[in-house]
Formats: sequence, structure tokens, C-alpha cells
Amino acid sequence: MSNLSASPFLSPLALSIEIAVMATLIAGVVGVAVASLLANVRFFGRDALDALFCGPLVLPPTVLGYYLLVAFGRHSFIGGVYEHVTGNSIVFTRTGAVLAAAVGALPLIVKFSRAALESVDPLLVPAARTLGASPLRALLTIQIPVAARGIAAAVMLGFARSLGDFGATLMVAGDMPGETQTASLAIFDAIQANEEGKAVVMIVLLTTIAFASLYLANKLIARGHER
Amino acid sequence: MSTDAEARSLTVSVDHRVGDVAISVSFTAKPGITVLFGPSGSGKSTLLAAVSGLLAPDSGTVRLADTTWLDTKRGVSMPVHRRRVAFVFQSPALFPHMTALENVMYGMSKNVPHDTNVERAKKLLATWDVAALAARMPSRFSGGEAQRVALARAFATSPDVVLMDEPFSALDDVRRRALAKRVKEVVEELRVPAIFVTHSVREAETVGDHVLLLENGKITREGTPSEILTNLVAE
Repeated sequence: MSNLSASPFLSPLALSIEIAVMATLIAGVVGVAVASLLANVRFFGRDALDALFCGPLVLPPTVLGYYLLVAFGRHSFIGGVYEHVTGNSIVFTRTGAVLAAAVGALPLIVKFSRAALESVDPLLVPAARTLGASPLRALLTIQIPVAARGIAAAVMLGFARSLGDFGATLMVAGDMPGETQTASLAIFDAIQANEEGKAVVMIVLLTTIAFASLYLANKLIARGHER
Repeated sequence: MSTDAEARSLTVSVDHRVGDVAISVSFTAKPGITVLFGPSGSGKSTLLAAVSGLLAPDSGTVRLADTTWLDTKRGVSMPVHRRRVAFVFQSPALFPHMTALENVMYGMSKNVPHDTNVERAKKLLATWDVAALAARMPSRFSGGEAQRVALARAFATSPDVVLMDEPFSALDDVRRRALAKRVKEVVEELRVPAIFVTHSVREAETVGDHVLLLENGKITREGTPSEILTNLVAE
């Protein structure tokens, strides 16, 4: 990792991957939990919850970044508690970058996971329930495993999305080389500084990773439909 | 009917509206097979779902002996997974990511040693003539094989009540009759109330100890298979 950090091309890329992996883990757990709730439980405010989690898909990144600053900034309740407990701020740190990337990935994970969960044979969960499974056991042992390929595809798309986050990351985490400067931000800085060669290396690498994720996600979805 | 049979009876009184059909039924199912016979859309499957707890009816009560499963007036509704019902659906609904053996073991008690459950599951598969499928995945089963595994899985829970919703409708007549006879034997052995939904007169005659004729959500006649079904064919 120390060699990667020394390289002007690979340091932001390594940071992007690190942030995207952490963001995908968080968005994966939260997103699949929310998708499970939306797919299986009818409750007042379900559509509002769906809109809340899918909003980042349609909001301008700067608007999303502003909301995150308000919700997680040093003067917010969550930001204050976090700083009190850890001694660090959420915003303008790597944690902020992970948060921004996770929020950006959530809509894709929620939408595609929900679709995968809803496409499971509607008799399987009732069958599990009559065999003594609680709703949670039926979800964890039947519905999620049967929808696993679709959920994995959703997570792959979420990873690709968080890898390329720009606007919200800039608003929430800033653009500090070695700390919060991801590949997307470094590309922007390189173009601004007329260092196109430096930018192209990162563009090619990011494009390759993003397309590989997309290809894998499509493969998973196709194999899921073949079941 | 013995006192033991009375003690194991399932008492159902349910009112529920689905679309244009207003279901309003009261009956008692004693140990043995009660056939719920009627045309499509008469509310048979809805009634079965209400008994199992998969559907919350508008109002009513469901009791197994002294245990109340549902009493809408008192706000009692035992969750599906605590009712100990064996539900055999129209389609086998086997878990596609599990082998036949794993499907059968899914509902078995976790307090019993694993090896004991494995042995019991293998015996159940043998009972339903599908022992050879134990290690295979459901996607490779024929319709008849899948329904036999589904029956083995349903009966693996040592149920207090058996519910079957046209379980053999996708099978040919020969397999249908053979499985119906086997179901009758197994239910007699278990000595539990079983409700068998069908709209086949022959199937109802083969399995039924008692027949309820359901039309437009109401029980219009009840009696032995010969009393109800002979008249029906004559009409």
C-alpha cells in the first residue's frame, strides 16, 4: 500500500477502491435490510421510505451533499454524537467520503435488491412459514438466498456507483490529497491543472473497473433469471 | 367418534370477503380427512389460508382442541410458524437452493440431533418413494417427484393439522390416485384433522372421510363422501 500511496496515479485510485469497498459494505447491509422491509411488509409510509432511500438517484449531487452536511456536520445531532464518541468529525474526513459514497450507492442497492426479493416464487416464504420459520428465518434462509444473484448484482452496481462518486464526496469530504482525494476528484484536479496524461491513466483504470463491475452484475442478473 | 378424536378437533368459524365472494363458514374437522369440495372461486383456498394463518380473515375463530389459534374479537392471532400445520400447496414450492433432503429437514426440530433428523428425513423420502432424490436439487425433479418431496417435507414437522390445497392437480390420474391413497394412510396414522381442497369428485371419494360442499363462500351441504358426492354426480 505504501508504494501505491507514493504514486500520483494510484494513490487516489487505491483510496477510491478502499472507500468504495467500505461504502458498499455499509450500503449493502442497510440497502438489503431496507429492500427486505419494502418487499415484504405493508405499512403506512412505505412509499415515502422508498422515495427517501431512492432520492439520491435523482437529486443533484450538490443538493445531496448539502443534506449530508446538514445531517452529519459538526453542529448536527449525529455529527455531534460521533465527534463526542470518537473525537473525530464525520465531514471533511475519510469517514465523510465513505458516507457520501454509501448514500450514493443505496438507491441502486435498494431498487435492485427489492426487485430480486419480489421476484422470488411467492409460495416459498409461506411454505417456510408453515414449516415453522419465523419471518426473519424465512427471509434469511429462503428469500435472500434464492434472490442472492440479483442482490449480488445490486451490490456490484452499488460498488461501481460509489467508486465514481464526485459531487457529494466533494461537498462532504472535500478534496484533500491522501485523505479524501478519490480518483474522480484527482481526475478533475488533473484536468484543471492541464495534466491530461495523469488524468488519462486514472480514467482508463476507473473505466475498466466500472465496466467489469457492470459486466459481472449483468451476468449475475442473467443467471438469476435462468434459475 | 371417540373422546380422543373430539379433543383433537379443529373448529373453524370464519367470515372474510374476497372480491365478490363473501366467505362465511363454520365447521369442525375431526381427525381424518375433511374434503372441502367446490367449484373454482368458491373460497376454498382462501379458507385454507385463513386456517393456516397465512391470511388474516375479517373476523372469526380457529381453535384446535383447547388452543385458540385465532379469535378476532379477543385480538388473538397465533403466528403461522407456531400453529404446527403441514401445508401442501398446489405447486410443490420446494426451496430451489436446497437438496430434497435439506428441504425435508427444513421444518424439523433443531433440538433433535442432526443425525437423527437426517435419518428421519431419509425415511420420509422413502415413504413417499423418492429416497433416490435425497441429494438432488429440485430443478431436476418431475412434477410428481417434486410433489412427493413436498409431501415428505410437510409431514416432517409432525403436524397437529394437515392442510392440502389441490396438491395433485398437476398430476395425471394414475399418480393422483396413488398419492391420494398414500395421503389417506399417513393422515390415519397421524390421527390429526386434515382439510383437503379439491374439485375432483374421484379424488374426494378416494381421500375423504367427511365432505363439506362450499359454494359461493358458504357451506351448502356436508356429510359422508357417498351422501354428498353421489347426489352431486346424479344432479
